[in-house]
Amino acid sequence: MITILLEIREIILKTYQKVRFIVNPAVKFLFSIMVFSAINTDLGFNPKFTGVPIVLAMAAVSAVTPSQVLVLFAAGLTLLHIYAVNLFVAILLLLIYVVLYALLLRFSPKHVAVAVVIPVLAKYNLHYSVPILMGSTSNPITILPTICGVIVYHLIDVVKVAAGREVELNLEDVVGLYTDVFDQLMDNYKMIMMIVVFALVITVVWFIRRFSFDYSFQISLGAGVLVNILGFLIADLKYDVTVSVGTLIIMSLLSGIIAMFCDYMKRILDYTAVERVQFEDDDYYYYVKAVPKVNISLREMDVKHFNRSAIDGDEYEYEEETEDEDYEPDNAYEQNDVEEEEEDLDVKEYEPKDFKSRYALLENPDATDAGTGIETEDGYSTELPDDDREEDYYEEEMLLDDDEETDEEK
Amino acid sequence: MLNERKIRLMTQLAIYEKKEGKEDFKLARYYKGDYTRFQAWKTGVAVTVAYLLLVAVAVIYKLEYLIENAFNIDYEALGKKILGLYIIVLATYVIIAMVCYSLKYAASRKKLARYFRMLRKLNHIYLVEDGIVQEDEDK
Repeated sequence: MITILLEIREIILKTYQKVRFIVNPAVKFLFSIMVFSAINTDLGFNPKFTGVPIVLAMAAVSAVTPSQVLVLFAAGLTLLHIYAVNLFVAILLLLIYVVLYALLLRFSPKHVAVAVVIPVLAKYNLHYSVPILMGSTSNPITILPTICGVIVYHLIDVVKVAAGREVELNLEDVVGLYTDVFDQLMDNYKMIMMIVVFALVITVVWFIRRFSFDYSFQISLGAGVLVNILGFLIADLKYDVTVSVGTLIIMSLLSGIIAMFCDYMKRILDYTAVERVQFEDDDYYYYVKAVPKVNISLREMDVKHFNRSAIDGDEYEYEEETEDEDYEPDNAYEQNDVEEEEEDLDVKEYEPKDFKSRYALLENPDATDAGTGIETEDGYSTELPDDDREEDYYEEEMLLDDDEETDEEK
Repeated sequence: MLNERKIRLMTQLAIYEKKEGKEDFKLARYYKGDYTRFQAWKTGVAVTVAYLLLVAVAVIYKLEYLIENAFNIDYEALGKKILGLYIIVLATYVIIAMVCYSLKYAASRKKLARYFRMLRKLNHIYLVEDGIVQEDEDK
């Protein structure tokens, strides 16, 4: 059964490697369309920006640029829509955006997209997956963008209502409007509870998955789902925040599964990225396409080889062996176009993990069944390498050549 | 004659430079202290701007009350309150920023160390190729 699954995975990986350059922007394009149409349906006050060509154009740009651009477009679009009906609310919204950016979003540039993902997914009740995913793939600093997403989600609702109000150009009206908006935001227990629960979920998932016990990753996801459900139930009971219990439980579970799937895919995608690089030396120009190995059993076989030399204690040879691990005798070299099978750098990061398993395998030769130990023993395992492990790895390498420190200092 | 080991090293170096390297090289221009302090400053400025905006909003929010009680308000106490809160918020943010950015710096340093290690190996290959050192000679 496991073998079949692995084979399927390998097929998916190989296909993905080939179509990656189309799939990634396409997914982003579709998501961008979702974001912009959601904004247009919710706040479509300005008919100039609700047209299909505009949405498609913005989505196309967002598809090929970093996610920050998508967030910028989304923010700009909401502002333009609100500006069309109510200048004062637009100013207020801009002000809130600046504060949100300065206090929450700027600390995690990689995760700014969360600010739009949460409001969009919330329409399908799938926003519970975001904190679980953040906890399982990143660190607690992602609490900040997640909070931002939750605030934006509630803010849009409040602003939508406020924008519809008739406001005369006098102090009383404007102050009254601002007071209303802030009252609604501050007294929004649903928002505050959501922030608290999401922050808890991220922390719990992150904390548990860092442990080294078996299945810690799956347990962390389960704990995340549980905290999510319990958190919202308590909020429901204590603060009378209306939550549909059935939907909450089902969607939380579904979100857990989605988070697991996304995390799994992310891990795979990080590994399978085909790299094209160019460089030169005195004799040649090289145009290298580095294709990460997806064949896992092959790596497993190398593992034993590596270990023995490490145990032998010959340091220099040990270094050499690491090189040989990558050695692929039947690579086809053409004149200037080198097709090389190469492990991605990301995979390299997991070496300390292999290292441990290598020792374990040597001690217990019965466990060297190449087909099975894969799920947990290699880079595709359920755990991310935590810092301690990396530390070990580097220390290990430091021992190998002593002049390392001096080089590092330079 | 193509040297596979050399190509392998150069490929890894090139991939690193293309991806994570960019960021790491930027960080490498600073000393750790300078980098974290610089980031802390930026955070401080951002927090200050945000706080000023929030105070402005709060003033509008309470404008009615402020105008009505313009002569009865203890401005000194209010000012102290606002300043105190500002210092707390600023300190929290700056401390968190310093911790996070120094962790980031340390991580990039490790990756950079690996990069230099690979570079040295490559250099060794060059030396061997040029006949300056023997193949089996230790670095």
